[in-house]
Amino acid sequence: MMRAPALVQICIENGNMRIECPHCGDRDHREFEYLGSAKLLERPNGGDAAAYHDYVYLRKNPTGENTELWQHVMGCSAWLHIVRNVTTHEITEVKLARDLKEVAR
Amino acid sequence: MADFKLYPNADLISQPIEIGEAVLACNQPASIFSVAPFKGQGVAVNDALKSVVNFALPAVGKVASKKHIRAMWAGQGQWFIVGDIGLASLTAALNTKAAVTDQSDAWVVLTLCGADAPEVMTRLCSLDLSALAQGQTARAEFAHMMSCITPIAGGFEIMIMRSFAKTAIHHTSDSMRKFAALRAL
Amino acid sequence: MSRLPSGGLIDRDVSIPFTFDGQTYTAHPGDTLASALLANGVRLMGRSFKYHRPRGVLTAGSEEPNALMEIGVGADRIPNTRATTQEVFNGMVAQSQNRFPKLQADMLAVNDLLSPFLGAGFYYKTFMWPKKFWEAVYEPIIRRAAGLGRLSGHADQSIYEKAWAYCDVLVVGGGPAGLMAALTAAKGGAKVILADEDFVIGGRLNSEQTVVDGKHSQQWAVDVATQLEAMPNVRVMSRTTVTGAYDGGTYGAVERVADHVEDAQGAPTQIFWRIVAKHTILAAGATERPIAFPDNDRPGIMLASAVRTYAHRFGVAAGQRVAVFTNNDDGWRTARDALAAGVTVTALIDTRTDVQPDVDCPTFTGAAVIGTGGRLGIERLSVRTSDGSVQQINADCLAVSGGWNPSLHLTGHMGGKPTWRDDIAAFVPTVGAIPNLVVAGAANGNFSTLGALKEGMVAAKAALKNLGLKQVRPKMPNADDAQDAISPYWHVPDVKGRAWLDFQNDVTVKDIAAAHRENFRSVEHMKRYTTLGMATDQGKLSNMGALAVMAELTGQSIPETGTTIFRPPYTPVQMGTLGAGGAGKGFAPERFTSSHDWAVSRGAAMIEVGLWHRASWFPLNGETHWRQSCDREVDMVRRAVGVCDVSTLGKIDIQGPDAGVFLDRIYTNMFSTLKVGKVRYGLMLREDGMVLDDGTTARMGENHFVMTTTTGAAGPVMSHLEFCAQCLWPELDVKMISVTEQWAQVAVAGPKSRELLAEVIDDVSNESFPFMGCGETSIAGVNGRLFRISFSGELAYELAVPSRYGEALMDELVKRAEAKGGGAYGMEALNVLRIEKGFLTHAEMDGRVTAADLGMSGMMSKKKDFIGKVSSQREGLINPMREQLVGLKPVGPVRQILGGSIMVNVDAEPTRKNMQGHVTSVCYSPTLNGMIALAFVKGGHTRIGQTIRAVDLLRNLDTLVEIVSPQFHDPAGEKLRG
Repeated sequence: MMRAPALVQICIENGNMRIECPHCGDRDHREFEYLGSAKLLERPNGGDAAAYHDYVYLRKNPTGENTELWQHVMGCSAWLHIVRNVTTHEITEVKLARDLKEVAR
Repeated sequence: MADFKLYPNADLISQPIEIGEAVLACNQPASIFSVAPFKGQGVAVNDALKSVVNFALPAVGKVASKKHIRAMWAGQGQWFIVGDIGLASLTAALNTKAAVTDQSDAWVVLTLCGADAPEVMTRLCSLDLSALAQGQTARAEFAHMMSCITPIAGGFEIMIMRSFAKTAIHHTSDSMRKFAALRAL
Repeated sequence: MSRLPSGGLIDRDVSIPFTFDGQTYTAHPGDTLASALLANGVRLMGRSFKYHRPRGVLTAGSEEPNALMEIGVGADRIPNTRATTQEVFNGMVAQSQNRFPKLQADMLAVNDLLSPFLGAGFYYKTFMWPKKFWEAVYEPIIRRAAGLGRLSGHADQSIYEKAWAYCDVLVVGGGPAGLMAALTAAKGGAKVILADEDFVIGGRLNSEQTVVDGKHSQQWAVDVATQLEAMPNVRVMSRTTVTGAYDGGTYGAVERVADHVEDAQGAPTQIFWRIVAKHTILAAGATERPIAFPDNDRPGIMLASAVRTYAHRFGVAAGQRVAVFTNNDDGWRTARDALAAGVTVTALIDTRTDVQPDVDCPTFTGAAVIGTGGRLGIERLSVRTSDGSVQQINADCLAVSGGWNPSLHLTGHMGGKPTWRDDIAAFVPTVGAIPNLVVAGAANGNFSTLGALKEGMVAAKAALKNLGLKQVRPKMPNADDAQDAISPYWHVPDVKGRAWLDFQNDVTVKDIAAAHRENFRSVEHMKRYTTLGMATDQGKLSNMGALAVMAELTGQSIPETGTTIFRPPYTPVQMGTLGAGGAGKGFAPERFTSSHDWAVSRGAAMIEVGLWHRASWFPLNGETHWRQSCDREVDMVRRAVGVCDVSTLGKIDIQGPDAGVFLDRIYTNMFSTLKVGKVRYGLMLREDGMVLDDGTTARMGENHFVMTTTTGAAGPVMSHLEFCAQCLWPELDVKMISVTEQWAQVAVAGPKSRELLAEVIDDVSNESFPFMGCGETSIAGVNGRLFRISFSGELAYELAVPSRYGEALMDELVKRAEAKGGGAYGMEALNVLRIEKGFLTHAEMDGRVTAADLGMSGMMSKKKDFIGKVSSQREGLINPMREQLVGLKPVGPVRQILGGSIMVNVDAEPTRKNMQGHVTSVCYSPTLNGMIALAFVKGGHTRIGQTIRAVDLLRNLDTLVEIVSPQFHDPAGEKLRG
């Protein structure tokens, strides 16, 4: 899985989304890279194959709000935990993934 | 041991590029160091820095400076100390308190100044530059490349990674040319 | 058609020559191509898409379906330009389209005679059989006959640009509502952008004979625009069409910067703007709609509002004897204005029975136009009066008004559906269709001038309130508040002949009936069956009429019938504009090493590796083929010493008390146990157990590591490390930053490498720098780092110095290497050297291989957890019959192997089912004197010594090969430890 080099974002000009980075403020989505569901935060450290199967592959496919991980690759490099409505693209919450994990502990 | 010298590469911009009402120049500082304080070391780092450069690390998105040395926020948990300061004195002061790396050769510091600079920048950078005040700095996309954009007197400072600098200079001077032609219409 | 003696926003003192179909005419500044042609008596401007019917200009705006032109010559020729929006410039060359050989006598008009066979759906029915005739015969003929303008066939030489803009309030449209909104918002201190597609701000204010604030509406528009332009917080963008509404308050807009000048002189012709607005006020106005009646497409038949626009804005009389056909009061205005301009009005035909037009001309109420006549333009029309009798009327211009459609298109761009209003017989935007966008004026169905001004002000005040700015109350100007009454009337019933709905795609009322008959009754089906609304005007004029006809046929109301979805762009956008900045060097940024210019000066052939430019080989005198240079460079490294710039490898500085633990979790093997001053090769997996990347990591200090990644994976690996540090284990105290750009790194490889380095560095002894040793060093007074690592299998080092010295270091080391029978080597030789040694690149680590596939299961630590550990042990990933990395050597008469070949057993057919694997890397090895390859073969690790075939079906090569160890050269590794 070779993704596009993160140093460079070649962006397709259809649609635009603004993301309010907790560090950098309101930015165009071209500065961010999408990874996937925020479930990726819950690595089953020391889990078995079934736990990893669930972690790596199984995803909900919600209509409406979804929690996602994005990285502000062209900005502060922070990984962001984002609540986004996949129907309207409305973003209702952006948090630093780092803080979220530390609070959870 | 043979007697020889290593000469530094020529500057990418030898003479400032002046097109229309904008000037693109290279303003390479003596050095750039990254500072990333370790866990719980924020206060200790600031104290140590105050003894070396006489100021603390600025807040997110801000620049702090004294004399010819400044510190700029450069991303999550990371700052750049820019100016005439030695790596040895910095690492000595921050030893075990912060990760310090030499970035002096990693970044090319360009300046784009003049009346046309703000308009030229709108062609290259997706930032709302009018909202970026003096004393602030932003990590942002510049012509599809990573950059640090900092407003300065009469224009902007654009920090670009060295390998991308030629591309940045090409696109910037191209936009300067187009904007000058547009104004002449 | 002629120029009126006075009036209009044109500069009569200046004359501009231009040509249309080879004939020279003159225009005045302020003219569009359409107004200039009308002023010159030209009303035949095009041929229709399918039937090649003669057509004239129908409108005076961007909704124009008929008057499409090719503008310019050579590479600059732009097809399908609307004559109604194109400003005339000095020497402009315009040509009509879709006609052969000329506009006045188009041979393809024979299509019109065949029209009974060419109705809606004819493509699908007529050309069904024989099947293979479609591509060979039918399609080329149809494509030639049916069409728009021609592409120039040359690369577009025009310059385009993209730009960003931010504002508090974006006002779309500069008519009464937009001007009032912009003025109110600006006075409240908001940062305002006013965008209008026209080149003169004012919208309908420029097209009517009306008074605003005690002065002519044209003057009021000029005054307000001037006032706005003088304000520092306002940007007035004329010639700018807002083409799309996107998420997060982002709008796309096309600014036509230099389409109206003879020579752009280096300026972009168009700029594509991304405007980010906190609030948007859509004041895009409305477009008048036609009424369908037989032969309603004859040149000279125009929208009533367009007739007024030509008169008031351009000082052009659209005809000498004008007739008006209307279903609403607004049509009367055209008759009155024509009379006032001294033009004869031969008839006012109103479909309504209960009205008494107050116009001094022959009037017919309860009447309808049932036909028109005239060659290449209207000369007469037939009117069916209220008592059923038919009267012939002479007219060279018929002004038609079927009511107005609010320009609500942008509100549909995020999926919003419009709301039907019976009182104005039109759809209006639904509130909230686009977040933070409000609609004002005619776009909102408020058609009076005063109403538009008021709504503009109210919308701006609401925006100011939301922005937390003070709500100013500019003086409300006086203006006309006429609410025009309308009675819906879409097409003339009970008549013979073709009544056009979609002028651009030649769709008639009968075609809608055919769609209904064939059960294509949903609007989306009807649209696709008839192609209605699918032309470049996107159905701006035709959609409503067609909906109404379908509603009538199905017995449903219009809102029940529904409407198709409006999508961006609002008007056509040139591909060059959308792709602005993406051509040539704009395609992707280029990255250069600090020895780039030096390599070029040495004559190196350069190759792009991702974004990087790297030296591929360095030809010496007499070498004419890359293989000669490559073979020599490989030989040089194996026998003496070679020097190669490897700065492009990713370098990540990792520091912190937990750096060792962190790396243990990233790599499959242990790093916390690595001694300071040592380097270790590491393999990292993805969480699904597949290999992500490999590289060496050096321990520079107790809490300080420097990781190298492959060139291509530098970005993704950095992202991956940041993900692990921030998202998985934020409790670990570890900091990382890319130092790829800080260090120029040079590989010095070959038996004489130590000898060479000893000339420039104090201590390179085996004791100080044993195999896999590393440390700080100094070269000519410059601080550097030295790593004893090898990607060639030879005794080798990598020496890093700050990037600015990269060129000097290369130059110095290569000169010294040459003195020892060595020299510079490039990517080709580097690749051969690593294949000979069985080292990996992403040709092998293609995202589908495990550590075990690569023969590296021994590197998977059992003592610790690491990313991908559990998943890598899944049943499917430990299957011994997986494709495993092996080496290949030809053993039959064919000595060549091609990259990408598939592996099949000796007696098997080379089919997908029989595939045993594939070749990933291949080279000619000067060391082994033959071709060798790396490949993946099913169960390959246990098949060493077996014979198999490498087959390339595309290039027709079938090679018998022996499966061997991938370490072709010095498998014991004695040389690199030497």
